[in-house]
Amino acid sequence: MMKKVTALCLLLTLTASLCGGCAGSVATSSGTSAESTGTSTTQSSPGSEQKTTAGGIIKLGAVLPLSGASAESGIACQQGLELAVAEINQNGGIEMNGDTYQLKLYCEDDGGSPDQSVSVATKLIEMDEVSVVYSSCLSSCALAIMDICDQYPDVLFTTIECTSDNFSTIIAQNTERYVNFYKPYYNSSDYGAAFGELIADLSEKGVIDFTNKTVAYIVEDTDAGRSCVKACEAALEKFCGGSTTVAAEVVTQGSTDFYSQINKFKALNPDVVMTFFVPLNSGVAYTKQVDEIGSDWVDIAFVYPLKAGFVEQTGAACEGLFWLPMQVDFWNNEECAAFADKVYEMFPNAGLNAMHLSSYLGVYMVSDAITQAGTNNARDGLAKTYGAMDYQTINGRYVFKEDHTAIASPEHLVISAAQVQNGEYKVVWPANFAYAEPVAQK
Amino acid sequence: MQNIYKLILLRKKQIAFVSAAAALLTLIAMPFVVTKIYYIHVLILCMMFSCITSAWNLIAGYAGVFSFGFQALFGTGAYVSALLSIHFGWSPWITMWMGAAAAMAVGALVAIPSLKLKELPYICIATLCMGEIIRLIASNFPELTRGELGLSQIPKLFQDNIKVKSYYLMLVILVVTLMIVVKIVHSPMGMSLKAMRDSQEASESLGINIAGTKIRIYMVGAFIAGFTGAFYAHYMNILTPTSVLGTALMTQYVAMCLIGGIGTIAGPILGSFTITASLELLRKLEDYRLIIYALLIIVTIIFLRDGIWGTFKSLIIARAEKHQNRNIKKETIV
Repeated sequence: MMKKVTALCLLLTLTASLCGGCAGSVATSSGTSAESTGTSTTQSSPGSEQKTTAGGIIKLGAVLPLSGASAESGIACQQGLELAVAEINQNGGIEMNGDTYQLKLYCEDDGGSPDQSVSVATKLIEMDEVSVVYSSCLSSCALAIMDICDQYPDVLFTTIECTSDNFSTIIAQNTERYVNFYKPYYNSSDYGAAFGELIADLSEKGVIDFTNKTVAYIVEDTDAGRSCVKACEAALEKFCGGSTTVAAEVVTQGSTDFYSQINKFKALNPDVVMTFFVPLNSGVAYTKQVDEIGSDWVDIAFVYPLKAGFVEQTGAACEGLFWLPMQVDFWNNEECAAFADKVYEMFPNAGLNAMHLSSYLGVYMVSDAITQAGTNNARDGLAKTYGAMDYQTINGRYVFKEDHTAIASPEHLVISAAQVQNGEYKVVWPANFAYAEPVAQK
Repeated sequence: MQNIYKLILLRKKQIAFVSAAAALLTLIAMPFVVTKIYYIHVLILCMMFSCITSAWNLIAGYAGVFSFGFQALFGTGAYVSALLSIHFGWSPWITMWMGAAAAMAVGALVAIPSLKLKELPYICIATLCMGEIIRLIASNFPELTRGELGLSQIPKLFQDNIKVKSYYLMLVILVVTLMIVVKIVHSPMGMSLKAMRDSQEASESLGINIAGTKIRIYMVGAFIAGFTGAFYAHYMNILTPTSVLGTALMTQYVAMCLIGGIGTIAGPILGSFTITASLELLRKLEDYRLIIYALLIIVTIIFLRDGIWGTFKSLIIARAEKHQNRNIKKETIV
C-alpha cells in the first residue's frame, strides 16, 4: 500500500514538473548564487527590444561548462564574472545616457556540450532577456552559439578565452552575419606562432638542442588542443625552417595516464615535446610521470601551469619547464596579484587561473562599451562600439581585428613564455617582456 | 464510477485512440499557445528524443534486444547527412534520407553478425563496442568530421530560421514514427517480437525466425534513429562526437524508456517529455540540478518498476478489474 502511495506521489511530482516545464508563465528571478547582487525586479514584458526594466537593470548572460571535464574553467569564468558584476554594482552601477543601471548576471550550465549551449543561450535571450551573452570558454560551444547570433541582432555575443582559428575563418567569410559576435582573445595560430618563435629563440641561445627538429605532441581532444598542433607545426615551418612531427597523441580531456605515451616518446626521442591540457590534473600527472620515467627532450607546456597549485603539486618535477601563455603574472605583477587577492576574498577556495581575469575584464569591457554607446542594444550601436574599442587592461591591450578577434602582438595582447626556476615562474620570452634568462632543462 | 471502469475495460483501444488524438491536437496547437521560442526548442528536443526512444523501445522493449550502441545510429545519420550536404552541396531534404540509409547500413554491419547470438550479454557488448568504435572514428578523423573541433556551418532545413517550421517537421516525423511502431506492434510481426522477448526457445519452436526477425526490427529502428539524427544535424547546425555519439546519450535513452515505461507505446514518449522538460526546469537549481535529476531517475526506477505509463496503466486497469470482479461476485451471490 505504502509503495503504491509513494508511487502515486512520485507520479504527481513528475507530472507537475512536466507541466511546470511547459508552462508559458515567466517566473521572477530571485537571488541565486548564479546571479550577481542587485535589485531583483519583475521582468519586463516579452519582446527583445526591452532589456532594461523600470528599476534600471541591465542583464548579462553567460553560457559556461559548470559541469563535466571543463568545469574547472567554467567555474573560474563564473567567479570572474560575478566578481566584476558585484564590484560594478557596489560602485553604483554603470552609466547609460545619464542614468545609472545595476547589472544582473545569469549563468547557465551547458556541460561542455554544443547543443546544450545553443539551448541555454536561447533560454537566456528568450526567457531572461539578456543584452549580452558570454558564449562559453570552449570553442566548440561558442561556435555553436555563434551560429544563432544573427537570429538575435539586438544581443551582443562575446566569448571568454576561446582560441579556435575557426572563428576568424567563419567571420571573415560573412562579416555581415556576425556583426554582433566578438572574440576578445587571440587564436590558435597566435599560440603556434609564439611556440615557433620561442623554440627558434631558445635554440639560437643554445638553451635547447633543436638539431634534429623533431617534435612530439600530447594534446587533449578539444578544438583548442587539436588546432594548436596544426598551428605549432605551421609556426615551426616559418620560424625554424620546418620540423618533423614524430608523434601527435590525442587524449580525452581530463586524462591522467600518460605512461604509454611517454614510453613511446622515449623510443622516438624527440627534441621537444609539446603538451596542451586545460585541466590542471592532466598537467600535473604528465609532469610527474615524465619525471618518474626520465626524459631527454625539452618539455613545453600550454595552459595548465597557469592554474593555481601546479608548482605545489608537482614540486621539483616541474623545475625548468617552459610554458605559455603567461598571460597573467599573479606572482610578480602587483596589479595581477591585487586582482588575485580580490578573487580569494570573494571566493576563498577559488582555483585561481587566467580565466578569472579574462571574464572579469570581459564585464568591464562590455560595461564601458554600453556607457560609450549609450545603449545596451547591439543593433543600436553597442556591437559597433564594442568592436571599435581600444581597451587597456592589466594584462594587455584589447583591440579587435576585422575578423572580430583580438590582436596578439607586443603592443596588444602579449603571449609570453615563462619557465619554472627554483619553484617560481619567471617570464623568459619575449626579450622585451622577460625579466629572467631561460636556463636549460635538466 | 462503475460505468467508467466498464468503459475502461471494454473500450481500451478507443480510449487510446482518443488520447492520442488529443495529444496530437495539443502538440499542433502548442506554437499558438507558447510564445517563447525557447519552449518551442524544448518541445522539439522532447519530440526528437521521443522518436529515438520509441525506436529503441521497439527493439529492446518489444524484441528484447538490448542495443547499447543505439546512439551510434543516431550519430551516423547526423554526420552522413551533414557531410553530404556540406561537401557536395546537396539539399538537406535529400541528405536526410541518405543519412538514414547510412544508419541502416551501419546497423546491418552490427546486427547481422551479433543478432544471430541468442545470449543478451553478447549483443549488449557487441552493440556497445560498435557505438564506441564509431565515436572514435568520428573523433579521430578530424580531416573529415573535424572531430571535437565540431562540424559547424551545416546547411539548415529552413533558410529563414523560423523554429516553428522545424517544430512541425519534427511533429510529422514523430507521428510517422509512432504510426510505424503501432503498425509493427499490432501486426503478426509484433506478436513474434513479444514471443521472442518472452521466450526465444518457445518462439523458435513455433517456427519464428529469431535472427531474421531481430535483424529486420533492428533495421527499422536504425532507420528511424538515423533519420532523426539527420534532422538534428540540420536543426542544431553543429555536431561533435561527444554530443551525438557519446555513451551519455545512450544512458539518457535507456532512462527515458525505463521511466516512461519500456514495452509500451506511450511510455518512451512520456519518459522523453518528462526527462527533457525536467532537465530544463531544474536549471534553476544550478549545481544541484544533476544530483536531483539522477535521484529522480533512481527513485522512479525503484518505485515505478513499470515506468510512469506502465504503472499508471496497471493501477487504473487493476482497479477497474478489481471493481468488475467485485460486481461479478455480488451478482453471483445474488
